Parts: sequence; structure tokens; C-alpha cells
Amino acid sequence: MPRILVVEDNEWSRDILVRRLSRRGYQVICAADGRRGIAMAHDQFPDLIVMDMSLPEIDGWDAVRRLKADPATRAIPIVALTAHAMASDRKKAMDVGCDDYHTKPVDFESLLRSMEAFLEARNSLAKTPIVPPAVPRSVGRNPALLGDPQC
Amino acid sequence: MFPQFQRVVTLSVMSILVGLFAWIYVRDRQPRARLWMIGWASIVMHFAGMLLFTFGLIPSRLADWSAYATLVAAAAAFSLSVCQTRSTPLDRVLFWAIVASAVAYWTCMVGNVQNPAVYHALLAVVLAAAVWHALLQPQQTAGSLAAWFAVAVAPGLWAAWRTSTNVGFGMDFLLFEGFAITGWRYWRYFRRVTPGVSLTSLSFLAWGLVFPVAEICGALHINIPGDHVVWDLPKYFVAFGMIMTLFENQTEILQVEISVRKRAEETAQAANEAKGILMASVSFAARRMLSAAGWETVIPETLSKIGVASGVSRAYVAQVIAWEPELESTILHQWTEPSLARETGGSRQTHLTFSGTAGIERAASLHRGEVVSFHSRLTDHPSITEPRPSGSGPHPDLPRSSILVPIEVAGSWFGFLGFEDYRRERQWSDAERDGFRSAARILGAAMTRQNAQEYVDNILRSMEESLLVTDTELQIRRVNPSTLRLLGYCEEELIGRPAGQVILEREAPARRSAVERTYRTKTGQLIPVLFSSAEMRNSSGVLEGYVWLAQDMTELKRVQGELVRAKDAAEGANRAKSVFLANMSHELRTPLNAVIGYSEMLQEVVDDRGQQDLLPDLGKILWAGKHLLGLINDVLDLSKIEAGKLELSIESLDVLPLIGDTVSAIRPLVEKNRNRLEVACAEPLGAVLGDSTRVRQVLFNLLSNACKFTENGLILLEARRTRSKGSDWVEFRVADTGIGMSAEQLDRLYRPFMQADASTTRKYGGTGLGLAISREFCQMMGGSLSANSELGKGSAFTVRFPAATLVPEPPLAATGGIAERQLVHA
Repeated sequence: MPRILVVEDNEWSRDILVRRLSRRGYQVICAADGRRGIAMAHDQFPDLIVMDMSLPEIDGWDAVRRLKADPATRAIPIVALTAHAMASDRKKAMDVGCDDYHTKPVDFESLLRSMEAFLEARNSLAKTPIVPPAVPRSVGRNPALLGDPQC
Repeated sequence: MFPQFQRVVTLSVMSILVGLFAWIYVRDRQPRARLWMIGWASIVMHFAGMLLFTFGLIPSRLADWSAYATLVAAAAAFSLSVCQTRSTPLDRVLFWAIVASAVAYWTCMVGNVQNPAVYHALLAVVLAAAVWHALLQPQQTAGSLAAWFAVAVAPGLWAAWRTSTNVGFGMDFLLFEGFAITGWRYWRYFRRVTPGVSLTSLSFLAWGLVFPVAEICGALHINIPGDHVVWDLPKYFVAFGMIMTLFENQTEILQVEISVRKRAEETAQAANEAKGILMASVSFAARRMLSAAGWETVIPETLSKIGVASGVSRAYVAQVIAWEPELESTILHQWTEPSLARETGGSRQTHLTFSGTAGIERAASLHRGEVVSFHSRLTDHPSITEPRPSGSGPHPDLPRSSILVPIEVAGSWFGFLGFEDYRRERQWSDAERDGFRSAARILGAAMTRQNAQEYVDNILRSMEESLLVTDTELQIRRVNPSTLRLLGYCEEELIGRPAGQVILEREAPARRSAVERTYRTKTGQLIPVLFSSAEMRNSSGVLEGYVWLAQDMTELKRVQGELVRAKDAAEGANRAKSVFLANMSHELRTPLNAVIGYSEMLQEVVDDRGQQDLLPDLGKILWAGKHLLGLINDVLDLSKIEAGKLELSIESLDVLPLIGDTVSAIRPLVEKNRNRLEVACAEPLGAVLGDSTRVRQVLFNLLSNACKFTENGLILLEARRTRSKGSDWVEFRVADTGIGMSAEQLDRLYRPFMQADASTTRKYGGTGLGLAISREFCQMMGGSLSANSELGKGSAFTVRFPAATLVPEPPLAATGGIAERQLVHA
């Protein structure tokens, strides 16, 4: 079961993500600030991190930079999630090392697609298939992902 | 023995005379006494020669030659002694013609030349000279002419006739002529009837007559007793007469002599002085005119100086107005001799006209650069309007003699310098002509120089820019009024000062143009100037200094500063707006995230729990949240467009995949209102040039609008290539069978936040920004968006993007491509 680390300081946003991802069958762990996020990434080896960019203690940009600089955590895909919706923000996120970028309010289906793609790539790389649980609504979903044998 | 005795006596007497005149000459240094001494010495030699021959001491030929030579020399000396100082060139020609012919004649005789033509020719020369002299003698009267012919011409003709038989006659005639003319001159010279003068004059005539008479007597074999004494008598009388004259007039002669010499000297001196004064005045004029600010300031003084120096009554400068058909001129300046000015009552002539042939000729001469001089009589003088007093005395309005000297200014005829003498008719001497010419040249040069100077000054004065000329040492040499105004100095304070005084920057005055420099005013104020510097070189390329041109930039700077501040303020405001928008966007997104997130989650939850009755309400919350999100995105887009910050990356986009993607994305919306979507593509479509995201956004926006405003209808998407305005386009047309729009609604179609009417938003959703943004995008990509619609029948939007050049595909690939695309359409 893929373990997803959600780093998000806004309580409601964190709550939504945790609950919705859990409903989809992910094991979700969470942190409310950058420092704890980094610590958890080190301790618990999540399969993917969903990272808000405006964080207390250490902000998202910095946290991503550190995680990507650390060999231990470098391989973990990070999906940035931010209310900074300017075009320049996207470029900035990709520059510091985020693997993908989504703006708030979250288009949840789109986020899921992105996550699944990363997890799939990681699975095939590690030869340990990680299968996301079945998604009740399949609107716009990639048939390749849907056709996973461990569904 | 008698003749010999007589000759010895004569010789002695004549020798005494020689001694007497020599003594007088030594005592008084009197030229005439010397000539008389020479004359009598010649006579002495004459007799001496005869005596020597008589005693057989010299050969006959030398004796003959000497006899004639001494006689001619005596005649010449005596004649010269009474040669008047006023003698004309004519007199001199006649005299020397006779002497030269006589010398040639007797030389030919003694040399035994037989050809009579030679003698005739020599006589002819003398005769011609005599006739010429007779005809051209001034103050002729019929009597004097007749006498002249009787004495000089008739005997000559007779002698010439006789010469054919005896050449001696010619020589006799010449000797006669020589002595007769001497007598005549003697008479004329003293101009008074005294016994001595009369005796001498007549004796000279008699002396001359001796030769032909003796010859005639010889020819006629008439024997005159004691002829030697008789033939010699005139000599004694001449000698006696001369001594008488000397005693009669000695004092007077000397006085006349001295006064004549003195007068001559005085005249020469006066002429020299006059010339000197004239030249001095001309050089004065030159100095003043070429150094003064303007020739007009010194011309009155100059005219009076030259006028006084040349002794004229009036001098003026005239400018030519016209010279055809008559010479018309305006007198610019004039000087009139004070006494004449009194006579004319100080009236000043300002206009001068020369009419008639004389006027035209004068104008033509002056135009050619020649000096014109003339004497005036009442009849031909330039028109004088005032009535002339009758009589032939000096007329205050009538110059007796005038001389006009042309003035040339800058290579063309400007006018003339005129000098007039009202007192007497005068011949202008060469010195005067030269002087006047020099004066006219100097005046012309001064005028030319002043014109050129004024031209340059006018340019400098009318310049708005500051002009400053320095020498190579950077000392200021010239400034224009603008510079003085700019810097607050007066001219004297700047000329000769180092240029560093006015310019702040210290640097080599290299060639620069339009750089920014700072000038320092007299009060120390610093003025920014737009500065250019150029090297000033003379015609041979030698560096003479630098020319600085500067333009005050204070005002420009002020405006520039204001503009910079305004720009900063605007940029600041814009930055604030951008920051505000970013913040607003950020702040709105966080709660929206909760709204949309929770409502989506709740939808799932209530669906799972079977509480479907809650779904519509949750849907409304979700719709409102998404609408708000759309609004925020559109506002951001719009503000970026307005700020010009929207960056497009134009690339070639294949149309078919573009349509495929858009159609699949829009399908849920199409189905929502139970509409049908038809896609019609006119192949080949190729590719458009545009920004991938924005082209899709435009197409999606048009299709979603169509879907929104149509229910149970048909939505048609057409795509085709067109060609207009010389380029290729890809045109998309989205037509629906929806509610359509009225003409008014069409008018405000693209205004932000303006949907067809306010209620539309509630009913159909949308932000009212979509079309405005779409149109902006189209235009930014070089395309266009247009709409037509009919209320209740539907709308059609046509969007057009520039097409990429169509690359013909290989037939094999084309087949596959088409198949694939058809699949997409399905």
C-alpha cells in the first residue's frame, strides 16, 4: 500500500487530502510544517510526498530543495501543491526539484492521475509493484493505470 | 693771309666768350651759361678746324666733317639753352629729329654717299617733323602758321629739290633750320623786345641764312667782297646780342631762372607731398576700415581725409541701383569741401543719375572695373534739378571735373567712389588715380568683409544653441549671444579666458557629438547641456581650435526626471497591483480549496451512504466554488493581458490533434445539455501558429459557451484553411442553435464582465470574461475573433489563426494520417 506523506499546514486542506486519499486506499501520513515533513520523509520513507509550499518553520521550497539534495530522500517523488497559481510559480517549483505541480483548489482527479503515474514509474523501477486501490469514479482515468493486476 | 688772320681774330673773340660764359656758369651755376659756353666752344672748334686745315694740319675730309659737326653742336647747344621748361614733347621731337638728321646727313656727305634717296629721306624726316610741329602747335594763328611754313617748310622743299644736283643744299637747309629755330626759340623764350634779344634772335636767323645764301652766291658765281667777314658777321652779332641780353637781363634771367627752378622744385615737392598725403590718407582709410567694426562708422572721416588730400571739392560713395538704361545710384556717404558746402547752402545730393550715351558708357566702363573721368559742361552734367544760374563762372552744382572709381564687393559691382572738383578743370595725375583706386579697393574689401562678417554674425545670433569657439590652448575666442544668455557673462568676461571656466568636465576636447556635459554659469549654477565638440581646422587643415555647441537641457532634464518618477510610480503601482493580485489569488484559493474539496468529498460520502437527496445542494456549492475559481483564473489572465505581461510561446500546432483534444475535453459539457456535437474538417488543415495552451483555451471557451447557451441542439465545429490578405489562415467556426444574441448584446460582447444580461450569469454561469480574454489571445497571436448571432436562432463564432506553411505529406503517410484523424473525429 503506497504511503503518502502530506505536508500541509492548513488544517482543513490537510484534513481533506488525508481523508480523500485514505478513501482511495492510500496509507497517509502527515506533517504540518516543513521541518517535521523533512523528518518524516527521513523516518518513514513515504512513496510520494504531497507538499504545500507555504509552510511554517521551513517552507515548502526549502524543504523540497533539502529533500532533493539528500541522497536518502532524493528518489521520493514530490508533488507540489500551492495556492500560488502564477505561471512563474510553476517554473519555480520545478526548478527547486518538485516532480509535479498542482494549484489549489485541488482538482483531485488530476492530482490522483499524477500521483498514480509517479507511483507506477517507481514500482516498475523497484520491481515491486505498488498498486493503487480501485477508484470508484473513473472519469478521465488512464486505462493503463486502471488495468493494474493487483487492483 | 687775310682769311687766316680774320679766323684767328674770330677764334680769339669766341674764346673770350667761352671764357666769359664759363665764368658766369662757375659763378652762378647757371645751366644756360654752360650751354652758351658749350655753343661757343663748338664755334671755336669750328674755326680751329678751319685754321688747322688751312695750315694743312688735318685732312680735308676731317675738316669738312668737323666744320659741320661743330656748327650743328653749336646750334643744338644754343637751341637747348632756350628750351623752355614747359616745352612739349613735340618740341623735343622736332629738335632731336633735326639734330639726328643733320648728323646723319653730313656724315653721308663726308662719307661721299652718292645715292640721293638717302639725302631726300633725311630731309623728309626733318620736313615731316617741321610740318607736324607746325600743325600741332598750340595756340595757332594763321600768321604763325604761315611764318612757320615760310621759315621751315618752304626752304626745305626747295633744298630737297636742289639736293638732286648738289647735296650741299640739304646741309645748308638743315643748318639754316637749326639756327633759325634757335633764333625763334630765343625770341620766344624771353618774350620781350629788348635790343639784345632782338639782335640775338635776328642774328641767329641771319646765321642760318648765311649757309643757303653763300651756297646760292657760289652757284650763281656772285662774288661778295670780303665774304669771309660777311659770312662770319652774324656770329659776332649773336655773341654781341647774347652779351647784351646777359647784361640787359642778367639779374632778371637769374631771377627767372631761380624762380623757375624753385617753382619746378616746389611743384615737384608739392606733387610728392600731395601724393604722400593722398597715400597717407588712403592707408589711414585702410587701417580704419579693416579694423573698425563697420566701414560705415569710418567712411565720413575717410572721405574727408582723401578729399582734402587730393584737393577735390566733393567725395562720395555711391551705390548703383540700376545701370540700364541709365546709371542710377544712391549716394550713401559724402564729404563736401567746407567752402563749397557754404555755397551750396549745405544741401546734400542723395541721388545721382547719369543718363544718355555718356551715362551708359560710364556705367559700362565702371562695370568693367575701369576708372572713369570726365569734364562737365552745363549741358552734359547729370541732371541737376535746381535751376542753374546763368553765366560761365563756377557753378555750385556743377563739378568741372569728376572721376569715378568702381567699388567691387564680393566679386560684383557695388557702386563707385566719386571725386569732383568744382573749382577748376583738372587732369587727374597717376598718383591720384592710384590713390583713388586703392581707396575704392579698400572700401570694397571692407564692405565684403563686413558682409561676410554680418552673415556669420546673423547665423550666430539667430542660433538657439550656445556656441563657443576656443583656440588650441582652449582659450575662449568667440561666443554667441545664446552662450552669454545661458551663462550670464558678458562677452568681455569670457573672451580670452580658459574654457575650463565654463565647463565642469575636464577632458581633452575630442570630437564628440550629443554627449551630456555640465556648464557652469557666472553665478556658479550648474547647467546640464547636450554638448558637441568639433575640431576647427583652417583651409589647409591646420588645427585652429575647437567649436563647442551646447543646448540647455535643464528643462529636458526636469521633464525627464518627472517622466522617470512617473514611470517609477506607475511601475510601483503595477507591482503593487501584481502583488495584490497574487496575494488575492492565493488568499482566495485556500478557502476555495476547502469549499471545493469538502463538497467533492461530501458528494462521495453521501453517495456512498445513499443520501442522494443531498447531492443537488452539494452540487450547487461545488458549482459556486468552481465558478469562483474560474473567475479568479480569468481575472488573473485579464490582468496579465492588460499589464502586457502575458507571454505566449508561438509554435506550430497540428490542427487535427488540437481538435481531437478539445472535442474530448468538451464532450461532458456537450452531453450535459443534451446537445449534439458535429465536427467538420476541410482537409488539408496543416498547422496553426500559436501558443498551445491559449489556442486550446480559446476553442474550449467558444465550445463551452455554445454548450452553455444551447439545449437539445446542435453544436457545429468547422475547421478549414483560408487565404486572405496575402497569407494563409486556419479558420474555426463554432455555431450553435442556442438562444442567440440581439444586436445590442453583440455590441458589448467583448466587454469584461458583460454577459448578454445580468440574469444570464445566474442561469448559465460563466464569468463574462471568457470572450474578452479569448479575443485578446487571438489578437495577440495575430489572429481574430468575430461573432454573428440572431436572437433565438443561435450564434456563430469564427476564430482565425495564422496558418503554418503547409508541408505536403508523402502519400503513404497521408493515408495513415487520415485514418488516424478520422478515428479521433469519431
